[in-house]
Order: sequence, then structure tokens, then C-alpha cells
Amino acid sequence: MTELYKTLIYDQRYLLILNGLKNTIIITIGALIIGIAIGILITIVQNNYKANKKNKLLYYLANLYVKIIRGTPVLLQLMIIYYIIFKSSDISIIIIGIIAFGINSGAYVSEIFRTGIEAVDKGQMEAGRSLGLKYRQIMNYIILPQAFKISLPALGNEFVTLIKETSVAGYIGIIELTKSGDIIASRTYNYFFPLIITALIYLVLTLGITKLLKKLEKGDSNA
Amino acid sequence: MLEIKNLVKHFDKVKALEDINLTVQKGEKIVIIGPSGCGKSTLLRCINLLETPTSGIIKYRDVETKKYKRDVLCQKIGMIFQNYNLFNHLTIIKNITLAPIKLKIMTKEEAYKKAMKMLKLMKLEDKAGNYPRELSGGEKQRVAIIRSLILSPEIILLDEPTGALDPENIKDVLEILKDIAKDGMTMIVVTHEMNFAREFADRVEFMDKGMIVEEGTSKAIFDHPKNERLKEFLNKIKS
Repeated sequence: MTELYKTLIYDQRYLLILNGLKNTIIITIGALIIGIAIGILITIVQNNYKANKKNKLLYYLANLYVKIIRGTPVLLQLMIIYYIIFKSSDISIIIIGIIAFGINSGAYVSEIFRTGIEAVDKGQMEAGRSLGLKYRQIMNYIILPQAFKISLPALGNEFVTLIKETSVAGYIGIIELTKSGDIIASRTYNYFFPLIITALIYLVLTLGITKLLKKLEKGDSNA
Repeated sequence: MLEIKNLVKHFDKVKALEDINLTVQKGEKIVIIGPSGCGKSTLLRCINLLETPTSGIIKYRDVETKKYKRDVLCQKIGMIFQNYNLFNHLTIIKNITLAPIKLKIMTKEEAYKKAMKMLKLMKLEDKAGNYPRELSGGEKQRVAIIRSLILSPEIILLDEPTGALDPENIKDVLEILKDIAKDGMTMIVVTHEMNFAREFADRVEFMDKGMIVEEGTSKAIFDHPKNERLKEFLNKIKS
């Protein structure tokens, strides 16, 4: 019992865990917003090229970005962005974390959107064309709303994945949830409670969000 | 009204259409029959600019279709699909009014009013707020027909409009097509409903292997077929 007391109460260590949790959530949500923005941008570039054969260079750059991000570890991307790109800047480390995980997430989100668009029945595009609608109108009013709905479950998964992936942010000195557990452990010389407690918090977070998303999906399909 | 000359369409190595020649007068009802894979659908899709012909000329009102802006041409030439292709995420009324509103042919109020009137004619007015998945196949196809008619097209292309329906619904949809025909609409129908074809068509085109093999009045085609492949096709369908 004294071990648990030392882990959480002594020296107000629960505040350290709460602060870590706060940072984890801030980085995850910030990164997801950036990721969705990048994902939309990449999707627009890719579709623009596929439909009108315009902006070939942008299209190749977008594909290159997706390939590089998906083909390298997120920790390495984080380190490159922190140690090389933002080497001598005084931007808050949390912001750097958000940017790094956002850039990482953007590649995955763009793939989610691409799959969503491809999953819309091609008859929908043809019906739009046969009614005389322009490509952009068909995309905006017919394809994208359906693609977005198809993409929602995968976006939810990406959210959950991001929560877990941000645990490597401690590597560049961000005190997020995992790092805060680690710090407490190094002070109490006991790893059991700090690590199990942080793991449980992750579990509650991810399971809770998964359940919430399931509910949202169900409500949506009944509409 | 529609003139097709030496139309050829190849998909990679598949020759879907080989030298199609067809002229359609205003108000004419053309029925295209033939075994599956003979190019019937591809022909309709070329007329509607859903496919780009490999070579040949398609003229609508004496102007080549490829010289039209697609949105202008597609308002004049409507298309009905076998699988209805209603927009799944929109209610019936929105399915019908999307194009006239976005193409700025009508205001929202005008479009809704006209759509409701047409829905009423087809006894579907109580479905206006429903989604396509809540409708039967026959109802979906009737909505698709309204969605096309609301743009006041001059020609309607129908690609096996009853191909995905059960017998009861087939009758309903065919009756509606006859009603539309009575109003003088120019129609080109691809169908496997031979009784309908016989009754409906001013002219029947029999296609095989990407070519129009025989054409004539429905009496000539069904009662006095000349081509061997046509005879064979009709026999197969009877049995």
C-alpha cells in the first residue's frame, strides 16, 4: 500500500500523471487535426491529378510524402523534426510534437480518405455525370459525403493509434503520459505501480473512445 | 436528332463496338436487343459521353457530341441505369432536385415543386423524405426516371431499366416507360424484355459482337428474322 501511496500521493505525484495525460491528449488531438487537414490536401491533389491530369509535380510530391512517412518509424520522424528541422528554434516542444505527429498522421489519413473515395460505387459518379453535373460538383455533393462516412471508422482507429503512438514523445523530452509514469518510477525505484497505472489509463482512454465512436457510427447509420 | 457514324470503341484489346451506324429521329423509340456482352450498353455510354469512342462520329442535332459542353449535352440526353444509381446519402426529393438546382436550371422552390408533382404522378409522394435504401427496386427506378425527366431531356437512354427488378416491378416500370413514350419522348432502350420490345419499339436493332447485325420494325425482327444469329438468339430466349 505504501508503494501505491508513493506512486500517486506523495509529493503530489498524481499531478505529474495528470499533466502527462493532458499533454498526451493535446498532442493527439492537435496531431489529428493537422493530420486531417494534410489528408484532405493530399486527397485533393491526388484526385485533381487523376481526374484532370493537372499538377503532375504536386501529385508526385504528395505520393512521395505518403511513401516516406509510411515507410519510416514515427520515432525517427519525430527525432528528425526535433533535432534537425527545429534544431535551433525556441518553439515549445509540445508544438513540435503536434507538428511531427500531425505530419505522420496526414499520410495515414490521406490513405484512409483515398480508400473511402474508392469505396464509393462508381455508378454514383456516372449518375452524376449523366445528369450533367461538373466533376467538382459530383465530388462535393455526391462522392465526398459518402466517402467521408465510409472513412469514419478508420479515422476513429487512427485517433486511437495516435494516442498510443504519442508515447514515444518522451524521447525528445515531452512529458506525456508514458514519460510521467517513467519519471515517477525512477523516483520511487519501483516500476510496478507507475507503469501499470499509466497502462491502465491508456486502456481506459482507447476503450472509451472506441466505444464512443461505435455509438456515433450507429447513430449515424440510423439517421 | 441523333446520328451515329462508323462508331468504334475498343477497350485495350476488347473490341466492344465495331462500325456502328444508327440514325434516330425525333420521337422515335429504338429498342436494342442482343446477347450480353454484345456492346449494347457501351453504345449508350458512348452517346452519353460516359465512354470516349475510339473513332467515329456521334452527332446530336447536327453537331458532334464531343463539341458540346458535357453538362449541356447531358441535360438534353438523359440516362437510366440498370442499378438505378440513386445517390445513397440523399433523400428521394434531394436526389431529384440536386441536378436542376446545382445546374441553376431552377430555384430550390421550383425544383421541389416540380419534383413533388412528378412524384405524385408516380404515386411516390409519401417517399419524398425517405432514403433510397428504404425503397423497393421498382420505386428506385421510378425515382431515377423522375430524376432524369426533371431536366426535360430530349432523348432518354435506358440501359436495361428492368434488369434488376422482380416481375411485379418490371410491369410497373414498363408501364411508365410507355407513358413517357406517349408524350413523344425520343427513347433508346436496351432490354431483355422481348414482349415489351415488340410492343414498344418503332425500330429494333439486333446487336452481336459489337455490330448491328439486323434492324427493322418489331414485326420484321420478331416474326421474320433473316439473320441466322438473330434467329438463334430469339429461339434461345423463347425456350
